[in-house]
Amino acid sequence: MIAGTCILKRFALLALVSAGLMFTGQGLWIHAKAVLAQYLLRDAWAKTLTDGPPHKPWPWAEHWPVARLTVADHGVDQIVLSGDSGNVLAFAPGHNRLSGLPGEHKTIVISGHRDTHFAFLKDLRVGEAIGLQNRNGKARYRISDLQVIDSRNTRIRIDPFGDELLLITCYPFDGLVAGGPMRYVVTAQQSGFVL
Amino acid sequence: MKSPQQRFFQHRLRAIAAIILLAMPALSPADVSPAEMSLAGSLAERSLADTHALEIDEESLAGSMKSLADTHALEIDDRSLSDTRSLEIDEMSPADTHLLEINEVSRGTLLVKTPQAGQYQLAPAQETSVTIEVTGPIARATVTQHFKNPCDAWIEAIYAFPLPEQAAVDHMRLQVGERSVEGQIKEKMQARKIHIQAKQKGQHSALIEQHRPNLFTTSVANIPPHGEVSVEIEYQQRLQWHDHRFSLRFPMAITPRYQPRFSAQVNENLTVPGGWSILPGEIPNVVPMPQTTEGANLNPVRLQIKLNPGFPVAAIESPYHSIRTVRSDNNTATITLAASPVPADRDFVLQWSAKPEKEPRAAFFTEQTEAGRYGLLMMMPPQSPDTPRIPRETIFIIDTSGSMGGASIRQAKAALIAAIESLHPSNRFNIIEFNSRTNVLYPRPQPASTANRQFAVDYVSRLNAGGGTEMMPALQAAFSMPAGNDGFLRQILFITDGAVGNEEPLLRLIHQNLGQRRLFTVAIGSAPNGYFMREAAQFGRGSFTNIGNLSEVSRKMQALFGKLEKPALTDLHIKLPGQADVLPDPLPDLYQGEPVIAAMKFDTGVQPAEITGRMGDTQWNSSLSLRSPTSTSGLGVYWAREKIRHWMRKKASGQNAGQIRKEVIGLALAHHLVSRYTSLVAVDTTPARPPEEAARSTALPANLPAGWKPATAHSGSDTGVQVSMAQSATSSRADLLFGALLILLAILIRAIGTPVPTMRCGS
Repeated sequence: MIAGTCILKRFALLALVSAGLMFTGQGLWIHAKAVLAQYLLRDAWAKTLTDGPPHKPWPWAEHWPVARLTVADHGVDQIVLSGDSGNVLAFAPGHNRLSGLPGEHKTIVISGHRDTHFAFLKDLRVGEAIGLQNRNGKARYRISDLQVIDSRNTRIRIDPFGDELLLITCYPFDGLVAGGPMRYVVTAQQSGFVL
Repeated sequence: MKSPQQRFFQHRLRAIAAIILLAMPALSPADVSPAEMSLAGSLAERSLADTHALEIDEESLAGSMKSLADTHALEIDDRSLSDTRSLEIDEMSPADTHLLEINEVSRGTLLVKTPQAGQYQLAPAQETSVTIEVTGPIARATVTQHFKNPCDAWIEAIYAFPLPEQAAVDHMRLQVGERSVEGQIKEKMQARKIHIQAKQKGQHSALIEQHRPNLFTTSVANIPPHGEVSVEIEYQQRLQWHDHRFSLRFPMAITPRYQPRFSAQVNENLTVPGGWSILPGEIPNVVPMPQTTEGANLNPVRLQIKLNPGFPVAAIESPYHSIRTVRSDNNTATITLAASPVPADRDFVLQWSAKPEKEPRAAFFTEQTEAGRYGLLMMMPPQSPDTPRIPRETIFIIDTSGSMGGASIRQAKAALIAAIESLHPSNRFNIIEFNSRTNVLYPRPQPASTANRQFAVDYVSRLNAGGGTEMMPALQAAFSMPAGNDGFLRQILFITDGAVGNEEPLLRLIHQNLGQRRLFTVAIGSAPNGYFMREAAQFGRGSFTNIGNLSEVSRKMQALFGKLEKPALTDLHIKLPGQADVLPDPLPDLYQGEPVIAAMKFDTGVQPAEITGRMGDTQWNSSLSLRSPTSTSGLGVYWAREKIRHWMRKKASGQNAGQIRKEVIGLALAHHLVSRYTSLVAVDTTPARPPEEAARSTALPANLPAGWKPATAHSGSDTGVQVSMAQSATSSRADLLFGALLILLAILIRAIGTPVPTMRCGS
């Protein structure tokens, strides 16, 4: 009996520590994945730019790079993947497949996680420049608007003639838990396009 | 519904409990019973499963909100939120202001913008007149509505109309005082130029708008004080045949008024009129008007329906309105509201059925325009419940890729198991499972004996989602199964979310290899690739079933099994004399309870058309004289829409893209249709308000609530698609924090020495 309770105490400590390590690990792993994937994606993107067709960054990947997003003022240089489901956003910002891409004259919608790739959105200010490159060419955008919206009653209209770029992430930026309804939307207007 | 925080902590606590319970036996094996072991196991499993469920839930929440229950719950949530917001406005605005959100629109409404984002005031409707012409399965509606600006200022408003499913507005005309705005079909590049010009004039289009699917909206800018607005729209819709009758619905229900917090009515009792979410046959949820105000109740509606269903009508019923029916002959009738005009307070529904002994077998309609002669043929399958059971060979393909993870794979497995269990022992079947790799259960299809079915069900229940989506080899495997002429009906049932990037090679594969097979697609999950699934079914000459959530599996699959078991007529062909173009090409199979509808353009009438088909292994022939006494409208438009669809499909079978574009633009411009290459743009055909007027109107008029802004912007019509936002946060911070807290707690316990357990140790 005495031995039993002592074991219990030691075990409780062990369980607490291991659970603690597990969650810290899980949290760190999310960040590690987000950073590491970008390296692999850069290679796939370089290949796509040289020979044209989409390349998968790793053999079992379901998605491929479609664009490269740069914000020089904030040292951001990221590869954007096709699709914006949860399994894409773990690795990179995701491009909504119904939206446009540079050179198509159609609203472009890119989403990213607020705690990894798109954490920088909170530092953006109206008037700053964003670059987006794809196979068609390089487009430059100037930020025109920063908004917080409620995704439960708002949908994004893809303007079939629009030249806007929308960067979207979850809001508030310091939120702890995923799944909230609010979104932070950065709207930028195209200011130039080079083939 | 649980909050994200609750779900997060529940999931983490369950994981801790599982760790503790699993670690227990290692320390003192004797203390732990097998029951506890399995509890630990299931807890661990559930916490894993929960992670998936959590992701899916969030996606579907942020996503398309397809499930009705969710949408309603959310709308009610939104209302309780907006109540508090609008209450403040109410205090400072005139007492009779009704505020609502655009998602609440349940009939043609003119919404005046208020300073509160997302909140609108209703402009009183003066009069509404509606004419609907029903020709067989096609209804063409012309809606004219008059509104009045209730304010002493220039305003900007939005006209919104909840369209029936699969209906599209093809004509639109706005008259604002002297100004008229017309919806015109333009080639995309030209439409773009018009749009850019409008932008340069300082008019900009709103990018983010609040909408629900199939809500037609168009902006009406610069309405003069107390000025009148008239809106005319035309739309065409194909009616659905259900339970041996056609049903037509026209939205007239009054939008629920915002309920102040102190109102006698309790918010929970407020039913939400979901517009078109109410299924045919259900009583619409009509919210009683608490207080009548001028304009809101005086919305007289004149309704006239010209019914030409193409068969002798037994009964014409309107469940919610009293109607007056004038029958001109056996086959046609004109319906008006008995008390005309009536105040519009609930949706108008009209149902008509055929005389039982004269259940329609086929009906034919024609339209003569300058462009040519068009026809519409509607055919009912022969009703023969005792058709001999045709032996079937079904190949099931199930997608087990990573994108199917969580709720999707559970739905897919449930659907597949239901399908296997429905098989008759005389049938043969096989299962193909694919992710990055393709696995085939049997080398060739096996009889559906009890033992084989049990084996297959076991196999399916063990499937897990993971890996990539390599669809091509799976389809190739299905098509490589032998397809000899042994009297078996060959069916492929394809269960997937359709998450593929490049659809065209897949569609081409189906097109080239189909042969006598039929491909049925079953879409799974909250956001399947509907385009691919629909097109695959079309190329596969089968049907498309969409399963949005787990509770729908059994109902939707039963309906599909009905089709699979009893195809009434296959290999349908219609042969017309002279030059004729019959669409869709090829014609789909006829199933019990569903009519086949064919559109045609032809040059000679009167002579009989030959219709041939196959029922099981017997040949079926029928000849039909193409005679229709009167010309009916809308058939040319219907044919053109089918023809555009036909051309778009040719793209997948490798036709020259430039040629397709040319053909589609020609058809779309001639028939005033929205297509991939043309858009409906709102073109102001009169000069806009002079600039000095605009400047004057920026002064706030006296009787407007504080913060009101007069209109300056003008936006285009609803030519764009709308997308919902991705779920864009992880719980990494919460994980880190939670993990750190646990470790800290462990250190604390160790450092302090935790008095209570120490005492126990010592005692």
